[in-house]
Amino acid sequence: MAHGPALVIALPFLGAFVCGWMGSRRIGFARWGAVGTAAIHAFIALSLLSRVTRNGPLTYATGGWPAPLGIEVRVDILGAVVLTLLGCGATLILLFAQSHEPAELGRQAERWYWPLCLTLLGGMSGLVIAKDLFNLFVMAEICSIAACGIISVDSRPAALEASFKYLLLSAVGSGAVLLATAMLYSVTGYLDMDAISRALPAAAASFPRVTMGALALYLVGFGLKAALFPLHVWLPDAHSAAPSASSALLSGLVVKVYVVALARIGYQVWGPDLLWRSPAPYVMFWFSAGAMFFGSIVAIAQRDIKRLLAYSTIAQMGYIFFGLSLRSENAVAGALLHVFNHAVMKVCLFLAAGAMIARTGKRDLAGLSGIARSMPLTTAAFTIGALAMIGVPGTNGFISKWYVALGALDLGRPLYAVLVVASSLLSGAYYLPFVISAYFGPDPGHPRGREGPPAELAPIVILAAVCVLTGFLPRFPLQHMLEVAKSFFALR
Amino acid sequence: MHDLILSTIAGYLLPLITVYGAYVITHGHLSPGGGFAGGTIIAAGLILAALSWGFHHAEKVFNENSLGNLDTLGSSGYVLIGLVAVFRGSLFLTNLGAGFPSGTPGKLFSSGAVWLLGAAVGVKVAATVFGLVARIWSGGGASGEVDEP
Repeated sequence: MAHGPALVIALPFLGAFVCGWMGSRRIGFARWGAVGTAAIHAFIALSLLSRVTRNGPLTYATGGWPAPLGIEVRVDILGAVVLTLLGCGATLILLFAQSHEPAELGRQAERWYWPLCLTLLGGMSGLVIAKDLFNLFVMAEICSIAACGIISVDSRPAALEASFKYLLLSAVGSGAVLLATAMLYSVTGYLDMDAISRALPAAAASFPRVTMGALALYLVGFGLKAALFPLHVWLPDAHSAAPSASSALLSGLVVKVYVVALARIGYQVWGPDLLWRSPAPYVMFWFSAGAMFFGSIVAIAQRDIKRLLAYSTIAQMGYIFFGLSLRSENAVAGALLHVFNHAVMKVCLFLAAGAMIARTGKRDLAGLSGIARSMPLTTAAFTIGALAMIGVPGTNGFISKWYVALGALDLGRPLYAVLVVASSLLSGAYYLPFVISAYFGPDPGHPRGREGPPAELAPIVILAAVCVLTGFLPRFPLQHMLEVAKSFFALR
Repeated sequence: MHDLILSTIAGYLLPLITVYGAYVITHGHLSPGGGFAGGTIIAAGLILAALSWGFHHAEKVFNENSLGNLDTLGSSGYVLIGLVAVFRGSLFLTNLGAGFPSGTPGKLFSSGAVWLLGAAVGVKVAATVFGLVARIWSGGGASGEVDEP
């Protein structure tokens, strides 16, 4: 798989073109083509992961031109783990969507849906392994537009409004990223991340304001796309109005890749020394602390299950940014681990919620009470996802929150660790009442014994199992993320 | 509405604009411009003709079906040309190293894969730009339904 880095980007795009073309002739081809492409992507990502963990980072010079002349992509451990997450996550989501979206979208919209999902997958993969800042911007643009597409694909008014809001705000974010890239290019003369990283100390000494401005713009641009509080305003509408499979893609995977991009820029381009001489981590710290509380408190007031999950995403993104803004290996490893863990549990929750909504036709929490009696497996998976969100020991959420709190203690700031714990308790305040009412609440007459078809149920159960497995055996993602955090802090 | 002056002039201009667009696409490796610029020029010519003769004439040749075919041909052609290099054992999108003929530098058929990539981009851009305008003109929504005025 020496060509893996190029194939993980090229194949989803090729699949998208072909599925879009075949969609008007044989919709079945587009459906299964999308799942098949995502599965091949997952296979390539897994083989890249095994290769990268054995042989170290894999750099791929597109067209045979090495950087800084050409455009390179690099798959390091972080990239390989996130690629695996994207490939496997997208495969499961698209498998779920097979039995779900045709009914939810209708024939016309469905033709556009599968190519858009694959385009999004290709864009995300490119964003995660891009080594060139302009490539990073282009891939972020592809992701934004494809994401708007999968929100508004069925042309419902609420979805159109949400996706227009997202389109405008993410255009602002893209503009900020492009401007920051131009500023860095003007003071360093490179677009390649490694070359910039070498030239940046000198550039920062001669042009402190330009480099500081570029960092601020990256923080705002990628922060906006990753829904960092107070730049999150588009997220609740977009993630709750989208079709269920889209919500899972967006909330589980799309917001994560921007975090990875921001982490790369902060730690691999700027480097820890230069980063902590700027105010950016402190700004990120306060924003993320706000996110952990704001997201949870607003989520408590929600009556719609998908809006609840969307606000919970804001709170959980707060943990990730919180960990990244602490100058401690454990905290950064915890944050990157939470990127992985939150993706698994949020996809599980959104798919389970989507299945419940499809069976009952109800979206409000009260209407779904007693659902456990008619959909026991789906509700069990939802419960596991919810417990993982809260960070109950034995689930993956516990491990990542533990490492973030550990990082806070490394810094000698026990108060920060208390913040993490307090916000976790808050997330219990909105997940647990729903779980309790799902099991013990009155049953308003849900259809009996109506679990979804196996293709719909399997992804939900697999993801819930992964939540528990990586909670008890956290070695696979944790060890890699600790290594990544160590390499981040080894840079000067 | 039919306008004699407009439709006559458009009839003279359409071949010129299309040939110029094709020139810009095929000379992308020699002169300024390339696939994107040339594709937009061709699409602009088609839009001019469609506006002055009516979009229903354009529908006969460039309907959703044929535009979709061209679109897919251009975009997947680009990826496939990139993959040719992979199958020949070089890195993705490698040009001369993967055995594409270099030709005589400065001549039209030179530069190996760049010429083909430019053509693929040109086809894709022309089809997409014209398709977008035709779709807006026909009032089609995201899912292709036409609202009657």
